[in-house]
Amino acid sequence: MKTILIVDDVQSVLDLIAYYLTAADYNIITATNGEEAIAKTRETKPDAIVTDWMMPKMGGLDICRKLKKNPETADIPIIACTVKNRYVDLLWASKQGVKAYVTKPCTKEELVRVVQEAMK
Amino acid sequence: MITEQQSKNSELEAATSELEATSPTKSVANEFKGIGTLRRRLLTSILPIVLLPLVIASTIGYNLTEHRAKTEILEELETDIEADTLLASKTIMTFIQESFKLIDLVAANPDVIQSMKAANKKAQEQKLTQQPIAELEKKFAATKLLTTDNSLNNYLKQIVKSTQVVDLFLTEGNGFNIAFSKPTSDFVQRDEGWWQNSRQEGRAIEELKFDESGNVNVIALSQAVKDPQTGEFLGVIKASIPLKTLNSAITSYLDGEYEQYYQFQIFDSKNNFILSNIDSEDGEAEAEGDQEIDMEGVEVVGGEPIIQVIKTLVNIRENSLNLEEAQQSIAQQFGFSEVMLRQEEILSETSIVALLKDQNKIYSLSPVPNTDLVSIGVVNYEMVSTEGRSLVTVFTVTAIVLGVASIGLIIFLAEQITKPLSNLSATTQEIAKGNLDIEASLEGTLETRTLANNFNNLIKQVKESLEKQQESLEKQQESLEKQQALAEEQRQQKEQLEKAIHTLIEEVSDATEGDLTVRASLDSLEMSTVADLFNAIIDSLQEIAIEAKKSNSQVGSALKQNEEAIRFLARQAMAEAKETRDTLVSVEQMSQSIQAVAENASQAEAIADDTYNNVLNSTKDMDLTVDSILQLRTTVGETAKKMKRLGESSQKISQAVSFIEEIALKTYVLAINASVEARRAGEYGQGFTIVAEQVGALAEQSAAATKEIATIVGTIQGETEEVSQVMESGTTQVVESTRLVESTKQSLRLVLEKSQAIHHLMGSISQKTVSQANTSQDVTKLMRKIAQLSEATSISSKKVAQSIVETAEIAKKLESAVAKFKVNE
Repeated sequence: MKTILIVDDVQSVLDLIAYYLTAADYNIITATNGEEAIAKTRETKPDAIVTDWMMPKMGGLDICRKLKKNPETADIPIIACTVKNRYVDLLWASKQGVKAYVTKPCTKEELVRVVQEAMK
Repeated sequence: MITEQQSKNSELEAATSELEATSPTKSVANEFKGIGTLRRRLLTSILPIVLLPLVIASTIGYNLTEHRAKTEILEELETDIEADTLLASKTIMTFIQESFKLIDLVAANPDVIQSMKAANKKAQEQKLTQQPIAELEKKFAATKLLTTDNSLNNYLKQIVKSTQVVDLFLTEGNGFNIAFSKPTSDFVQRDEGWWQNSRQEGRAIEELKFDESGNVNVIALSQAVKDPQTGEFLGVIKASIPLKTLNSAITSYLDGEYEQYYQFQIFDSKNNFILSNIDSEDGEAEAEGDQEIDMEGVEVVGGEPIIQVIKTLVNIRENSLNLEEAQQSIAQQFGFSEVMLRQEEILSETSIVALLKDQNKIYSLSPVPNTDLVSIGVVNYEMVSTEGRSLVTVFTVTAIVLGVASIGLIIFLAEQITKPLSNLSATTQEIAKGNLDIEASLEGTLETRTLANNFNNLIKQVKESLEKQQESLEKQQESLEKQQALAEEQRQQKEQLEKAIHTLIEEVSDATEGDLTVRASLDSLEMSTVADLFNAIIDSLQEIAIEAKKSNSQVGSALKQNEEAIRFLARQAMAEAKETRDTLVSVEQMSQSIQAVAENASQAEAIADDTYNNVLNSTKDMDLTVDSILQLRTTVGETAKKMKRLGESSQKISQAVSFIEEIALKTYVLAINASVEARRAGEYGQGFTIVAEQVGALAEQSAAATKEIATIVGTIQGETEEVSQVMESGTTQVVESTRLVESTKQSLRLVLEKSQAIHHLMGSISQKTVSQANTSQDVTKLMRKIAQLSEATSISSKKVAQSIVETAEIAKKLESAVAKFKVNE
């Protein structure tokens, strides 16, 4: 069973995504801010990370950059799940090392498909 | 909405009124005042095109015609006048010939001759010739006849009646009348010129006279009558013929188009009178001859020059002069523009005729053969110009008529063209005022009709497009409202964006002062990407700053450690360089010494070489000396031998001398003996005694000479002995010398060998020192390079030391710069 780390500062969103992915048979770990997310990643080495972008202090891309610098965590695919939906946002995210991109709000199938593809 | 629509409409109206104001209807008259109408333009452009060629053609035509007419007329005139003059000449000649034939007929009448002879006889008998003429006139005033013979008078009257002759009378040989057709004024004719001429020349023609009885102008011809048998002069017949007979004969023959301009004169060149003057222009009066013609008032046409020319012609005929020369001289003398002389046959008689031309007249002169008469024909060709004038009138009138016709035609055409155009113009003005409902009428040519039709179509289209414009205006209104709503939305978005940007600036502006701890919040949807970009950059900067701080302190410590070592190295390098330089100096000195040694060695070699050569030369000299000594020895030996032989010879000589002495003594004894004997012989031996005495004397002298020779030989022997002794001692000396020289030579050979060895040694020494010097020079060069290298090394190490110091300074600066950055440690 694969482990997925979900990061979001909003608890309800976190719960929803966790619900979606649990339903798809994934093991779920959650974090509500960047520091927590990095710490948990180092600890558990998840197979993928689904993170929100716009969070206070440390954003989703900050997490991504931090993880990419560490060779131990550099290969973990990161999926951005955000309301931002413009082309430049997508471009910048991919430049910062985000592997896949899901626009909120999304359906379960959408999310699962993207996560699966990112892990391939 | 409604109010907007209204305002739109009012705008439209305003625009329309503006359009009207700027339309050309009002201002056209003022603006285009200077430009001519179509009609005027047509007139000003087409009229010259029509009239100008007309005028030019007329002028050219006139000039051509006039010129041709003039030339042709002139030529015609020349031929005509010449032919007519010639004809006149012929006529005159015929006339005179025929007249004289008539007179001949009278003269041939035997009655006439008879009565003349009788009258002559009577005159002689009555001695009438001795009486004065006045007296005779008085005497015969009644009858005016010498003998009244009515039958003769009747005969003459009959002739007058039946012929053209109007008067006929006869005189006898002294000029007294004997018969006449009608009474004459004088009785005695002897004093008359014609009578005298007739008597002298046989024939005479008198000046023109007016016969009052016949009321005609007459020409009088007179002829002398001679006795057919004896040829004696009997009298004169005179006949008067009316001028008009001649003139009408001449005029009847005249021919030619311009004969009305001709004038003819018959001139007597001998007696200088004009016989007839026919002036066609003055009418026929003179030709008719009904009135008396006063020939005094008539002058020869052309005046004196013509008379002179006539005289020249007579002269040519009489003296048969060259025609061309005469022609030239006439042209030169009298100033005619043209002179032409040629020969003509007049009734099988040759005559010289002349054609002359001056400024406005042509003269034709034709002398009548066998007479002094000349017919002169003249025409004034000024009349040609008169003909030309009528030509001008014809051409001018034609040109004017054509011009007027073309002006009328052009005006009519212009009217036809411009009328539809001005109608169309009026219509356009009406439409320009805003009345779009009227239409232009289709009239005039195809072009103006098409124009009017196109104009109507244009107006239709304008109407339609105006309606369309109205519709599109409404549509525009709607889209404008939509756009406004959209703009409001955009404005709000823009405000939001600006707010976000403002927040971002507030958050990150501290970074410009080195605070790398700042973070941009990701709250704004629009700006969060940019904010994230900032955060990424600031993170990177932070890492760099931290790294720089770390590296800088490392560099600082490392530099401190290294600085001393490098300084030391530099100092060492400098010391090394100095040492190298010193070494270089020593090496150079050494090199110089070696060079000096080499030079000395080569000098020594030269000296040794010299010595060797000297010794070699000495040896050769020595050899020569030895040879000469040895030769000397041989010579001395030979000399001793010869001296010995000389001694022996001297001894032989002394033996011979003693023998001769013995002989001399014996001879002397003999001589004494002989003298003693001779004395004995007495007188016969006296001579022999003298000989014996002489032989005795001779023997005495011989003995003395022999003694002398013995002394000399003894001396020679003595000296020879001495020489032999000396020679002996010389020989010993020579032997000694030879031995000494031999030993010296041996010593010299030794010296030579030694000096040869020295020479070789010196050569090798010199070579070696030279190679040594070269080597030392190479060494010096190497040393110099080394010195340069070490110098460079020292400079480099100095530079290294300096750059380390500089690096340290830079590191310090960097440190202070990095210190400005505030980072999360």
